[in-house]
Amino acid sequence: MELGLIAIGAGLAVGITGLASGWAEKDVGAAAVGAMTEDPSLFGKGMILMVLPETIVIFGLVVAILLIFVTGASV
Amino acid sequence: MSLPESMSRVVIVGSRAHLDKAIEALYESEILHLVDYTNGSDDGFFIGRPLKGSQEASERLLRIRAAEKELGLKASAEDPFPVKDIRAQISAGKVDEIEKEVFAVADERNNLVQRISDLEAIHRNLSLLSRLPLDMELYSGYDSVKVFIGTFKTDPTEALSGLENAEVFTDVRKSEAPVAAVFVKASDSDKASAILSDHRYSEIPVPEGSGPPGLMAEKVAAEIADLNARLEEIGRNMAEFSEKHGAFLAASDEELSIQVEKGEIPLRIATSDYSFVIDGWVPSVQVESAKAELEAKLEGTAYVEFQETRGRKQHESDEAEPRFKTAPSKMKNGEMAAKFEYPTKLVSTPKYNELDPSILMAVFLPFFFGFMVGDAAYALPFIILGLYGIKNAKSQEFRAIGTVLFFGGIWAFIFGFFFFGEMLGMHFIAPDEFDALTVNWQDLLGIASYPDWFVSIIPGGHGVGKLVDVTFLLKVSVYMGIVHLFIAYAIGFYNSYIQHGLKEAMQHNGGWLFILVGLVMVCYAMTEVLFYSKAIEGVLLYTLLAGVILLLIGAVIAWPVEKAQVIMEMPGIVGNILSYTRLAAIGMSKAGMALAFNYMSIIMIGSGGDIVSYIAGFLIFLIGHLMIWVLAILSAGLHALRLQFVEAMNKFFVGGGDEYAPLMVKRKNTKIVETEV
Amino acid sequence: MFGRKGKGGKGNYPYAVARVKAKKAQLMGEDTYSKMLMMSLPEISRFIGESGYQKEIAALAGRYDGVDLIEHATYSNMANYFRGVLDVTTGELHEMLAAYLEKWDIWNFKVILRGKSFGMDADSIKEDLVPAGKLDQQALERLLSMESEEEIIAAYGRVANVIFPTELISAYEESRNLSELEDFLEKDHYDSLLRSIDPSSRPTRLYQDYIRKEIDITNVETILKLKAEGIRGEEVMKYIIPGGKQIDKKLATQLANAESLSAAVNDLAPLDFYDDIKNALDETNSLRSIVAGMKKYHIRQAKTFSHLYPLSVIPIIDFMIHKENEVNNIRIIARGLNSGLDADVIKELLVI
Repeated sequence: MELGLIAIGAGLAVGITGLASGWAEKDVGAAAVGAMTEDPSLFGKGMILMVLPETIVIFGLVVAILLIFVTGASV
Repeated sequence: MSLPESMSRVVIVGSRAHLDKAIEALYESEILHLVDYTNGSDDGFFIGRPLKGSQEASERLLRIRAAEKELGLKASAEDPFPVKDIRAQISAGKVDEIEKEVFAVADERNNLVQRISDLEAIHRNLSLLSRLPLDMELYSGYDSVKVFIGTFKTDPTEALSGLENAEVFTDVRKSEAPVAAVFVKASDSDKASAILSDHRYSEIPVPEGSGPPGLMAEKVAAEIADLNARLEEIGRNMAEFSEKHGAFLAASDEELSIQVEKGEIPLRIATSDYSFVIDGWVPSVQVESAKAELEAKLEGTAYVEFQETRGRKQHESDEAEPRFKTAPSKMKNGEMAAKFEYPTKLVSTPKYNELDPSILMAVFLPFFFGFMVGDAAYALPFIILGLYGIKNAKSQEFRAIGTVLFFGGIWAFIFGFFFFGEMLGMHFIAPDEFDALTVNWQDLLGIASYPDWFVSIIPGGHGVGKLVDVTFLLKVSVYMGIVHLFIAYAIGFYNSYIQHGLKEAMQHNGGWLFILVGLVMVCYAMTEVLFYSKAIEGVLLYTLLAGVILLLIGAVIAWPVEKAQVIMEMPGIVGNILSYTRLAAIGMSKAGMALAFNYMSIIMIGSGGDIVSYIAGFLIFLIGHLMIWVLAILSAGLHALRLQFVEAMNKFFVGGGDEYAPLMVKRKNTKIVETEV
Repeated sequence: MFGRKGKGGKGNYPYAVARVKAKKAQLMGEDTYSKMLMMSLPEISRFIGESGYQKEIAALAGRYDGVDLIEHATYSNMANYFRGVLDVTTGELHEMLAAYLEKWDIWNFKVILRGKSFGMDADSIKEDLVPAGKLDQQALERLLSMESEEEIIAAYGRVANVIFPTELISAYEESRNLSELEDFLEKDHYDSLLRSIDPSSRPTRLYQDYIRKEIDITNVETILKLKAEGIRGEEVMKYIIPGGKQIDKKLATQLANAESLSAAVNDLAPLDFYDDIKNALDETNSLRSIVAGMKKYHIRQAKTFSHLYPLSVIPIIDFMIHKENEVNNIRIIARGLNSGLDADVIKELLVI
C-alpha cells in the first residue's frame, strides 16, 4: 500500500514537472527556432534559453528517484 | 585560463598615390585588424573611394554569380587553379564567353518552362471540354447567342430550364466537378449568369482551334512531350556545362572576390586629398616586427606609428574614441584548449578584458558528459566516433563535437569502468546488497570469482550502483557543482579585479564568493540536522556558525551595490547548486532504462530454447541499448553544455568581443604557384 | 508546425517575432550608407548581393545591370521578405499583417491598371510588380492576363475583398481617370487597416496610433500636392482620409483653405511633426523636403516603440518599416549616383 503511494507520488513528480517544463519551453523553443532559421550563429544562445526550464523536470526526476530508491527502500 | 592576447593600436600614414601598394603590403603581412573609419572623426578626412578596377571586377563578379546560380553550382574546384592562369583567362574574356553561353541556355530553358506550363493549362481545359459532345468551332462566332462554358459545383441544367431557348450540354460524373456548356440568347445573359453563379460557375477559357477537343488535347499532349524532351536535353547540357566550367567559375569568383575586397579597403579608411590614414590593431608582442616588415614593404611611401597598448581596465576602453573602444579579442589557448574555443564562441566571443572560459570548457564539458554516461560499453563508440570526427570532419562544428565526444568518451570509460564498474547497464561484479538488481555480468557469464586485482580496482569491490547508492551519487554531483560554481565566481572576481580594481571586485563578486561558501556550510549543517536528526553540537555547530558568519560577511560586502538582490539571489544559488543533481539523475535514468531492457531480453533469451524469443530478446537488447546510446548524446551532451553555459558562465561571462580578424587572403579554389612569387 | 495558417487564435508571436528580430539585426546602419555613397553602381549591387540581397541579385544580375538591377532586386527582395513574414504568421497576427501589407496589393493593382491603360505589354508591367501583400505573384499574373480593365477591377475586388461602389466603376468607365479609384482604395485600405487592429491592449494601441499618424502625414502630403497644383478648399477635402490622429476634419479644412502652408503655420504648430518640417517650411518651402521631414519623423516614431512589447505586432511592423526604409534608401542612393548627384545631396535625401 505504502509502496504504491510512493510510486504514484514519484510518477506525479515526474509527470507534472514534465508538463510544466514543456509548457514553459513552448514559446522559448518556438522563438529560438525562429531566430536560428534566420541566423544559425544564434544556436548557442538559443540553446541556452531553450533548456532553461528543463531544470524543473530535472528536479522532478530527482524527487522521484529519491522517493523510489531512498524512501521506497526503507519501507 | 587566459586573457585574450594583448593588443596595440597602430596607425599607418602615407601618400594616397601609393595606397594600393600599402593595401597589398597589409594583406601580405596578415597581421593588421583594421578599424573602420567613420566620417566625421577627423577634420579633412573622409572615407575613400574604391580602387580603380574594383568596379569592373564587381560587374564581372555579379555576372559570374548569376551564372553560378543558373547552373545551380555550389562546387569548389577540387584542384585549385593557379592564380596566374585565372587572371590571364579573366582578362582574356573567357568569363564573359562562358556567361553568354550559360545565359543563352538558361533563357531557352525558362522560355520552355513557361511554354510548357501554358500548354499544360490548355491541355487541362481541353480535357475538360472533351467531356462535352461539341466541336471547338461551335463555342464561338455568335452574335445573338451568349455561351458560358465552365465547371460547376452542382448541375445547373434544371435551374436553366426556365430560360427560353437555353441549350445546355452537361457532363456529370460522380468523382469530378460537372462540366457544362450553356447557350442562351444574348439578351438573357444577365439572368443566366446569375443562375450560373449560384451553381458556382467557374469559366473555362476555350483555346482557339477546330474539331473535337479530345483530338486537340492529344496534339497538345504530344507537343508537351516534345518540349519536355527538349527541356531534359537542356538540363543535360547544363549539367555538362557545370562539369566543364564549374571549377573555373568558382575559381574566378574567388579571385575576383579577393580583388574586390582589396579594392574596397579605401571604404574602410580615412583619406584626404593627398594622404591616407589606416588605423588598426596588432598583437602587442608583434608590434616591432610588424612595423619593420610593413615599412620594408612600403619602401618609404608610408609610415607605421605605434599609438597605444590597450590595458585591461574598463575605463581605458570607455574613454577611447568610439571606434577604438573595443580592442579585438584573439583567444590565446594551448592546442588542447583551443579545440574548445568553438563552444565558447557559440555563446559569444570573450571581451578583450575578460578571461576566456575555453579551458574551463575543456576540463568540465567532457568530465560532466562522461559522468552522466558512465558506462564502459557506451564509451567506446563515443571514443571512436570522436576520433573519426577530429580526423575527418571538414566543418569546425563537427570537429568541435568530435572533440567533446572523444574526451567525453574517455571520461565515460573511466567512470564506467573504475567508478561504476558497469558495462551496458550491468555491473561486472554482483555484490550481495545488489540483490534487487539481478542482472550482472558475473551471473550472466557464470564467472565464479574474479581475480583479486580486478576486484581491487573497482571501488567497494563492486562499483557504485547507480540505482542503489542514490544518495551518495546525488551528494557527489552537488559537490561537483559547488566546485564548479566556486570556480565560476572566482573567475568573475578576477575579471572584475582586472577591469575595475580590487574594491569593485570585492563588492560585485567577492561578496558572492563568501555567500556561496557560507550557504554551502549552512545547508550542509541543516541537512544533517533535518534529515538525519543529528544534534547541533561539535563540528556541526561550528560549521553552522562559520557558515552564518561567512554569509553575513558576504552580504555586508555585497550590500552597497547589490542591495536587496543579495537576499533575493540566495535561493537562486541553492537552486544552481541543486541543478547539478542532474549529473546523477541523468545517469540514473539511463541506468533505469538499461535495467529494463536487460531484464526483458534476458528473460526472453533465458526462457528456454524457442528460436523466436531468442531473436526477439536479442533485438530488444540491441535496439534498447542503441536507443539509450543515442539519447545519451542528446541528454548528456546538452546538459553538460547547459551546466557550463547557464549555471557557470552566467556568473562571469559577458562576451560580445570582436574577434581578431587580420586582413588576409584565404584561397580555396585558387593557389599561388611558387614561380610567380 | 510553425507555418500553419489558421483563422482565429492569437497567432504565433514568439516564433514570428524572433525571426523578424534576427532579420532586423541584419539591416544596414548609417555607416553602411556612407560607404555605399562612395561606391559605383556595380559595386553597390555586389555589396548588397553579399548582405541580405543575395538571392535576388544573383537571380537578376544576368538580365539587368546598373540602376535597373538594384531597383528590381531591392523590390523583389522586399516582397520576398514581407511575404515570408506573412507566410509564417498565424491567427490574429496574420490578419493584422495582411491588412498592413494591403498597401502593396493596391500598389500592384495600380501598376497593372496604369500599365494596361497605357498599353504596356504584360512583361514590362510584370517587372514593376511588388508582390509583398496578400496577392502573390501568381494571383497578380492572373489579374494581368485579363483582357479588359473592368474585368481586372472586378477580379481585384473579389480576391482582395474590396467592394467598389457601382457609381465609382461607372464613373471610371466613362472618364478612364484612375485617381478616384485609387483614392477610394487608399481610404478603404486605411479603414480596413484601422478595423483590423483591436485596440484593447497597449501594444496594439501604440500600433493604431502609429497608423493614425501615418494618415495625418498622408493627408498633409495630399494637401500640399494639391496646393502645388492650385487646388484648394472643398475639392481637397474629397481626398482627405478620415481617422487621423491630430488632424481632424476641421483642421484639415483650415489647412486646405489656407493660401500656402507657411500661411497655416499657426495651425501646424501644435502638430507632433512640426519641428521636423519647420525648417523646410521657413526656408525652402519645397514639397520634397517637407515630405522628407515628415517621413523622418514617422520613422523615428517607429524607433521609439520598437523595443517595447517584445511579444506583440509592434516588432514585426517595426521591422517592415525599417526594411522598406532601407530599400528606399538604397534606391535613392542608386538613382542619385546614376544621375550624377553629389554624395552630400543624396545623403540629405536618405532617411536614417
